[in-house]
Amino acid sequence: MANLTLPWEIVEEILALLPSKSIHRFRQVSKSWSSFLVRPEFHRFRTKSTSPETNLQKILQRSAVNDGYVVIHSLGCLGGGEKPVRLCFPTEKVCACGFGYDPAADDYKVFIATKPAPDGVKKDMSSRGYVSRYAYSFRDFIPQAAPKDSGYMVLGFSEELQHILKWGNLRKFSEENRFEGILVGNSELSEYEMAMPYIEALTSPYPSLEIEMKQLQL
Amino acid sequence: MSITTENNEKMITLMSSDGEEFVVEEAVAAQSQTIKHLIEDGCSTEGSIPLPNVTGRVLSEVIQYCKKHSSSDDKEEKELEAWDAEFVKAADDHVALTDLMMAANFLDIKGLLDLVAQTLANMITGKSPEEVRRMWNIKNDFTPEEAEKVRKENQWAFE
Repeated sequence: MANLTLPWEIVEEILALLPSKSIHRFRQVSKSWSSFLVRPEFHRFRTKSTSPETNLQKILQRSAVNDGYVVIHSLGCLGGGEKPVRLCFPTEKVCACGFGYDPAADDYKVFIATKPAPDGVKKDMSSRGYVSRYAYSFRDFIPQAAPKDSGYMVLGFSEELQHILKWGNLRKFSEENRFEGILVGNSELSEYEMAMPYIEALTSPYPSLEIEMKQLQL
Repeated sequence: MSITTENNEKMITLMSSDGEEFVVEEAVAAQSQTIKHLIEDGCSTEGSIPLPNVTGRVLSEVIQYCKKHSSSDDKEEKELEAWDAEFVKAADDHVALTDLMMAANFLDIKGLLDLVAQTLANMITGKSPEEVRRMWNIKNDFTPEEAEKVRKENQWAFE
């Protein structure tokens, strides 16, 4: 039986079991594999079948802060298995950033919190001084080669975004770093409100993280 | 045709695409959801159940698997795992495994489908795109420019 034609349902079953590095490599197999492997539906299916822990809170429980990076040890979907995921705070202007699935838009988004919160908005959180500023589809970012031996994937900004965001690269993200219930892109909400689920998850229960975050505030 | 053995076990006949007949206990065959539904719909009373997508060679392997899994209970889980490992090892190469997986998919036998999918996934994890293409006769339909773009985007996955 030399001529094997694989039905997609079978390909999907197999690919869902692969580590992320293989998935990225296999985008080169053919056009149909490539488009299939970047579909959010595929990653959702995959997450369901491979990883029990997807929410940001859980991932952050294993976080540590080093040199201005939040190093998150995650299961890694895009990122690469057991290796840590790095979220970079590229300049003093950017307070926090993250990566997550936005159910409202059915898309993965890179989320960047910048700027102090306006006075009087949500008193308990305003001291933290963050406001959501940017949320872009993951597809707007261009993955690049990582620095040698770092084991990281680098996400760069597309040209369209570079004029808005002057900092260079977001280091390796993982699709596993999901925000549960973040409402990005909903015009009913103010920027600040949009930021809340993320910022709360990021700052509240983790003292070591909070110290570092304060140093990075505007 | 319904035959009954001395244990009062109902037997049914499965016929492969190449005309080979297999007489198996109904409980064994019913591990396949597809066959189970056919039996429930009364399709087995008038002779054998034809399985036009499955060759005799593959069907005999599938039946081996179903026999083993219908006779084992939960406490034998470890032994069953070892048996499964041997079973997929015996399937030998990706062609046989792919045939087996397509049969498991058609016959809707979840355990077998998962087992073979995992085996094939392990098999291709470290392979290059070219090797994967060769395994399944997939045509590389990228233009050189497109190929280069995708390669650049995913360069880290090659290091």
